[in-house]
Amino acid sequence: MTTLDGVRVLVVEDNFIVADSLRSLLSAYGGTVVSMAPSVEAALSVLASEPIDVAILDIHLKGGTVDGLADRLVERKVPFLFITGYGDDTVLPERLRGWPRLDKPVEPDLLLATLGAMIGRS
Amino acid sequence: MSPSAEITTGSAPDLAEDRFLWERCRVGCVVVMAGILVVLVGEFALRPWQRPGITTVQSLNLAVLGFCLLVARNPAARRLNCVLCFIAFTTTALAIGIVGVLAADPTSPIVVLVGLSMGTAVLVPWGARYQFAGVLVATAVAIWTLASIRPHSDEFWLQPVGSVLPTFGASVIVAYLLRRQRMAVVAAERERLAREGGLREANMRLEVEIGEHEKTEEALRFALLELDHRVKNTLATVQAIAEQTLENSSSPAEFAEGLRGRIRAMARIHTALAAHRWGTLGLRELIELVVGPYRRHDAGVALACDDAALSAVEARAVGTALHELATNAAKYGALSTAEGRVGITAAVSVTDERRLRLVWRERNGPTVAEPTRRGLGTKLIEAALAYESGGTACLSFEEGGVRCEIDMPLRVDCGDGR
Repeated sequence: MTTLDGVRVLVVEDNFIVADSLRSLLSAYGGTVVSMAPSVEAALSVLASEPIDVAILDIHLKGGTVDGLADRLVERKVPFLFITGYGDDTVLPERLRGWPRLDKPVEPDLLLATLGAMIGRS
Repeated sequence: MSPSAEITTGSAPDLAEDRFLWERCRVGCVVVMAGILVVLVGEFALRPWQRPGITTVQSLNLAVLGFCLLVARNPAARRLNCVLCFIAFTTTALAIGIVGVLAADPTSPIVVLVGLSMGTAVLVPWGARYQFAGVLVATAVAIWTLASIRPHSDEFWLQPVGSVLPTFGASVIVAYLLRRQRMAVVAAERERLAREGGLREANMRLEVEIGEHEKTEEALRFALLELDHRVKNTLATVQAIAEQTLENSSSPAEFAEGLRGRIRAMARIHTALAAHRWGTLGLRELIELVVGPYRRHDAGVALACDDAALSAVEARAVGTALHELATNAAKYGALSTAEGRVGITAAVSVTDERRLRLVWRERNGPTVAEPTRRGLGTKLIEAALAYESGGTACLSFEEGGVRCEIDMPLRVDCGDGR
């Protein structure tokens, strides 16, 4: 059973209720959602001020896509996964297609397993 | 302009000219064969008055030579062939004529004239102008030949009938055949060009149509992808609302009622946004849509507001908050009694940016007290609106009823509802 004890997660999702549900889910497994960010700017400012272990990114935020943020996470060596309503990853630039991608609505078990694998716990 | 030049205006001039030349050769061949027949018939008819001599053999040789030269038409050197034929015919015919005149042979004019007319006929492939020149030469030689022979008192009438008429007849026939055949070729060429033009035009139209189809298909593919995306987002939202409603419900009935109301509000806002093609939604329309169903009577809800165009994201944020306020008021607040009143005031101010300030105020309802626990409704009003719009929603429980102040920036281009 994967646990997320002590894992600090950044959730980037512009729909409040969906982000909040992710927070409840992750908390139930011991993780800490450091912050929920509705936009790329908000996420970047969280990234600058708080240590993050892993990030969950909605691909399409209002006002743009998360490409720039994902690049920053790669620079900072913070692993991340995408959640998306798009059926495939062609909306992403090629350099970002290797990262894990989960379909909406997210399956809790799959999310936990993917997160666990990313931070080296399973 | 020669007939062959007339039809070289098409897309394949070489081919057309080649075809034309070939047709003329064929006609020339027919005329020469007719000439040979005339010589043979003439020979046969004049035999009683003919002296045995060289003319019969020579005229037969002439016929065979012409036949061989024309049958062995070399497509690569057709014009050279014509010239060779002409030279062979005219020299042979003139030689026969000179010998025949010297020998006072009555058939020699016929042989000369038929030979020259055949020589003229082989010039047919070369072109009408050369043929005409050939006829002139033949006529001059014929006049000279006729003039130089001594009249043969009994049979002289045979000479014009046997020689001039066939020559004249052959020329008329050649001219007619040439003209007919030229017309046919020109007409065929014109028809081919017209057909080609029509085909090209149809092809172009087809290409344009195919391009349009491809564009439509691409747009459709994009729309389907977008639809898939939106459906999944909506499912994720519904799932999240269901989970959170469940967490905040103390009984199945409460869960069912809460979930049903929230999904219904989502659906109404969706319908209105879709009706506006995911453009903007007016604030008044939104309030009527979300709060209207909870109004017990007309006076229950008083509206005093500027109308403002809200983007899909803004409409959803405000609509969700209003729905939570309205259900709460219908259950516990001003909309649960006949005397209760809800006043909604809204104003849009434009300074640096457009801002919406909306106040929900309940009066004359049951006495309310600040709840001990902040439930999902409160969260959906305060936290969700702040999170999604970047503004604030402040809920206070005053003695006269609930009061909620919403203050948020409006961005016309703030997303497309995804």
